Amino acid sequence: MIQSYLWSHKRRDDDSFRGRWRNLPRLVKLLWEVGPKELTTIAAFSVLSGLLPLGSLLILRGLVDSAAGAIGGTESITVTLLWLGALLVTILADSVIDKVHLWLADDLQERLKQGAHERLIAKAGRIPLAMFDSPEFFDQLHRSQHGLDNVLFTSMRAIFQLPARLITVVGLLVFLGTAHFLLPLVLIAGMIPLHVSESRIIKRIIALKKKHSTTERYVAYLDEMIMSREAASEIRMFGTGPYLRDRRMDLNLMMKKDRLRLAFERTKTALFGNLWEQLTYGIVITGVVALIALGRLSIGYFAAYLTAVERFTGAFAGVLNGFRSTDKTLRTVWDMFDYLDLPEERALSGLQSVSAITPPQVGAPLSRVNTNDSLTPVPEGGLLVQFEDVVFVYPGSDRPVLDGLSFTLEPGTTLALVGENGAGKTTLSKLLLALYRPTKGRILVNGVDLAEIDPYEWRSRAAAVFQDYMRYELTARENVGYGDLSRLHDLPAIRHAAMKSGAHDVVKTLPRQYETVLGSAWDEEGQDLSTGQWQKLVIARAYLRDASVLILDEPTSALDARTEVEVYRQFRDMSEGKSVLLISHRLGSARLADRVAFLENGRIVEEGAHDDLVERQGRYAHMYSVQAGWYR
Amino acid sequence: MTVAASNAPPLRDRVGKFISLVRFGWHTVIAPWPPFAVFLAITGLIGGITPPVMVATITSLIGAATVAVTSEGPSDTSALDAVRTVYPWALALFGLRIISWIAYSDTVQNYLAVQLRERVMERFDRLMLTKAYSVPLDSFETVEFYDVMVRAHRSMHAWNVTSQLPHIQRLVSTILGGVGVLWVLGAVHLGIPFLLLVGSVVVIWRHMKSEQEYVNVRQSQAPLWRRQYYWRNLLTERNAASEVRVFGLGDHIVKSWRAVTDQLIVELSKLRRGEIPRALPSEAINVVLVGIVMGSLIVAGSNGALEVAAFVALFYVTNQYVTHLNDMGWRLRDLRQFFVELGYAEEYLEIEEESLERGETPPGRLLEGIRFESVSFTYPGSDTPALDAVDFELRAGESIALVGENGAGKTTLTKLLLGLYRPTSGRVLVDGTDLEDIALAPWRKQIGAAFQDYMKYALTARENIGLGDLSKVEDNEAIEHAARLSSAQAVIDDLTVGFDTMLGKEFAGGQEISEGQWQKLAIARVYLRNADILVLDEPASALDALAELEVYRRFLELSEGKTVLLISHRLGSARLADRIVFLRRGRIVEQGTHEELIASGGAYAELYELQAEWYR
Repeated sequence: MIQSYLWSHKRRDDDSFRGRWRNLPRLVKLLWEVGPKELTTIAAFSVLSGLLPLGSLLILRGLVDSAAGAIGGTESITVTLLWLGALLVTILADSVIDKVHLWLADDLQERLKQGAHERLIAKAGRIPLAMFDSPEFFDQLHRSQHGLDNVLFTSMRAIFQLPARLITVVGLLVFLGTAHFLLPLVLIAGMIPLHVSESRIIKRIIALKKKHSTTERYVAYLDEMIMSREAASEIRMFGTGPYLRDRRMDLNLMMKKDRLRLAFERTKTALFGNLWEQLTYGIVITGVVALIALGRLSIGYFAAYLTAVERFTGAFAGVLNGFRSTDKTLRTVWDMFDYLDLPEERALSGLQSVSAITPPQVGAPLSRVNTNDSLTPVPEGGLLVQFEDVVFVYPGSDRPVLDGLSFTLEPGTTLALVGENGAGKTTLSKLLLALYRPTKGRILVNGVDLAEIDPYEWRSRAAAVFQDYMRYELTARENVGYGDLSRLHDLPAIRHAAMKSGAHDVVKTLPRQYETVLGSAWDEEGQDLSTGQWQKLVIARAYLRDASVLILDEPTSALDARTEVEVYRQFRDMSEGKSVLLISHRLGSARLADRVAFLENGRIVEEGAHDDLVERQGRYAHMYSVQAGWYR
Repeated sequence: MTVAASNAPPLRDRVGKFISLVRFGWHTVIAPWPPFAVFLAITGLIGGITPPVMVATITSLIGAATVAVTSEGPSDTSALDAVRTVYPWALALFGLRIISWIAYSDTVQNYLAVQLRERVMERFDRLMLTKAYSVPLDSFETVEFYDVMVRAHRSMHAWNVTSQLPHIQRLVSTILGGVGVLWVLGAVHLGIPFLLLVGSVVVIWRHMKSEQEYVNVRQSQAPLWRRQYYWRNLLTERNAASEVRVFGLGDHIVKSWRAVTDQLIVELSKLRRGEIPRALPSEAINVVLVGIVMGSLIVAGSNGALEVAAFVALFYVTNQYVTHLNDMGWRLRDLRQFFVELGYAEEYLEIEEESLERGETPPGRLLEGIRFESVSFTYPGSDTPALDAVDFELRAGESIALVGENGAGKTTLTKLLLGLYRPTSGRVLVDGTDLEDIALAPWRKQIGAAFQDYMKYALTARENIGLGDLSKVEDNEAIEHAARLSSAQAVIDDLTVGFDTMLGKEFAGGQEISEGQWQKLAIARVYLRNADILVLDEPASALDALAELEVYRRFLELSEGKTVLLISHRLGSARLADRIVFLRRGRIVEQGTHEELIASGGAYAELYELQAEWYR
């Protein structure tokens, strides 16, 4: 359900000039929100630095005039020396401003940039998990990050210098027009074609970037893999390094061809624009010379006019460039705004509080559960979870993983979910955690549709050990503490959880115990753990949280026999009063569960207590006997 | 002073290092595409020459115009003549402008720069990746390696060394310009260039000192960059997405990311802000010296020692020099950074590689067996040995199950056997020859290994299997056969386009499969390689009971006559091995057949009983 409308929300398809520039206020607003102080300072400084050169030029001219006067004897030398003092101050100020500029430009800009990055990252944490199944999402995120790094801030200076440049342009325009009104017009006409061709190229550059975004990500993926520790052993054993490298280089080759072609065309069209610009410059100079030769202009005027032409073309090019940069930025932030507008998880679901759900009263029909009295505490006996005809199809696939699945997880009991690889066990657990939403059917918690419940609060009542658990390359304490952030610094609680999972014995041997950074990339005293040792930490992570619902997806796959027994012994204590979903291929451990459900072809095909199922001689009994066969 | 001098490396070493760096720079950023450097050199020269020529041309143009106007007077016929006299100069001016435009405009330079950049990056990336898979595996155990790697990557990618070449060109023309100015001023009085030069040295010395501070800070920031990247990826990548949501880690991760980012910014910010007051004295000295020069020019002028025209010209030139000076300071800093960043790339590319071909070629087939002779191994940076004087023998054609508690050193032992790590002490003997003396490439080719942390490649299903033996990537029959042996065929059948389906969801057309299904592909990878020695580390940990039985049944068939090392916590499957070796805290505590060990009632028997209990 969510998946289907994730990509159908309003996209900015309006690639017209107006459509783009309508985003400008939002861009300014975003930057303003990220850092109002930084933004104003940069803007003010850019305007100022556009005007300052004019000031120092004026002082210089005053000094030269006054010095000439002093040499000619018409002016006092003290005035000249005062002018010199002013000049020296501007020289000093110039070098100071140079460094202030570096500080402002690099520093404030960096702050602003990171502030904007923070938005992108934070957003990634708030969107539904289903987005992470979509390559389009990753492409968009990639382009947004790239846009922030490479487009937005390089053009910001050009944008902020616009006012100063405009002032220069208007002033010079008047001056140039005094010779002949046609001259400035010819100059302007000379610069327009280049502007037009550059604007077109920018459009193509951005289109190319879009076309390349998947490939670029893939190249980055391969780079990272080849340079990672995870792949290092296999690459060396199988000798696959050259193959993976060449595959990556080939992908780059394709993009390289595109990029070179575009660069070539850019230069080709710009050459014509440039030549035209030079030609009009020649025409203007010729015109001025002709005017002088005809006696319509004084010679003294010529030098001034020449400088004015140079200044004007420079400033006007700056204006056009600022305009193009803004346009380019707006083309780029488009993608970023699209990304930032992705619907968030909480916006897509009901926000009913979990604590509003009262325990089902014995004998009372579930539909009459009272959902209004928000003061009713969560029942001690765990929660009742029901799957009703749940169908789930991964987006982009046509084969349902779950196909009309129904089962009930009674409060305070353990249900073992068994089935072959790829049967959909892990998917089911993700539906239960509201990470995915059913394509059809409902999941009820104490009679209330899970879709109506605030997913954040629901998950705050749940804990999970995933099959592909995370190994955080952080301290051991953090690895456990991430199960319940409110106890991140509560060492006794963390130690308690670690003892229950057998992780404490591992941590004891580490050089800095709970403060040891795990993994080898971060700290000289850091240490990596074996897979089984990691798994113990992960179980502790789940135990730290005081959850009503516990999901254990192959929690002991890498544990040795003794630890496994120990973990399951503790598990009886830890699962007391919780509703537990246990997924395991070790069918012996399924015996610990109150009930066993066998999943096949997206449905529950057998359900019952272990002993009953063994007696029934069905799929489960067969699987169990196969495994028991190892120990006969 | 003397202390500092004695601590610094000898000058000869530093010169040697610099020469090697220059040579490296030549090969890395110039040789891949010399036209760009040639272009920069030519245009740099043109750029140095044109301004004075331009000034001369303009002067002549004005002169010609003046002559035309004053001598002939404004009449219709003479106006044409006037234009005729003026035109050659106007054309020359136009021509000069076009030349200087070619030299300085981005239009041509951009294209050439793109050409260079593509070539440089292609070459560097190839070297960078080659290096990553050529260094010994234990490089990945040291923090320093990651720092060196990330610095090299950043210097070429984020910092973009190639884009700095035009800066060097500009530095050269700036220095040339400065020398020219000093020359002109020296003609008036030798004291003038002397004073200006003293001021310049002070200013540039300060610039270089500041740059060194930046270099130090940036160098120390490498671990922080990595951390920043790590935090970001936790939120933006797929593998942590589920846990982040279940445990509500989003805000915490954003906060942690921000803390690292702030630290990065603040460190540099402090430097940048601090540079302003620190640079003030040297700048002030320079300004005073410039003031003396300019003041004396004025005094000389007012005393009548200088004509107005000469005064104005000299004054402009001095002022120009001051502007140049700051420019030169920044360009020199660019140059310094250029070499520092280049040095990072060189540092990484010079990490010593594993020698894969050196040594004896191992026997194509294991004849006697592999022997561990009191092998100890300690991970770099750790002080407790992971393996402690391990002695055991894996005879040719024999299968051994390696059993023990988590963290006992089982996986480490396999990595020593594969020659991925080298023993800290003791020897690993292959048919009596020390593994140290055996060429690693053919040795590894002889072994099929399934790792506990098998890779899930976001490549096609075909490649996921084919990486086991690249010569068979396109061999459908062989790939299908391997898939059938590992029960992966059913997985493939479910994929939309069979073997050519991309796996993983991050990229277009990709399809995700379950953990157990990934493991079946990893096993197929090993089967594809028709190896004589098999090392299987928990090959069935994620498999369902039926698949596990199937995999082990096949495995029994296939391992006929092969030498096998199997690690498993499922002790039932350990029974399949001829012998069982029990490892505890890096030492072998028991070994024998399953029956022997059960009869002896030791650690293995106890563990086996514990597990068998589940099924009674």
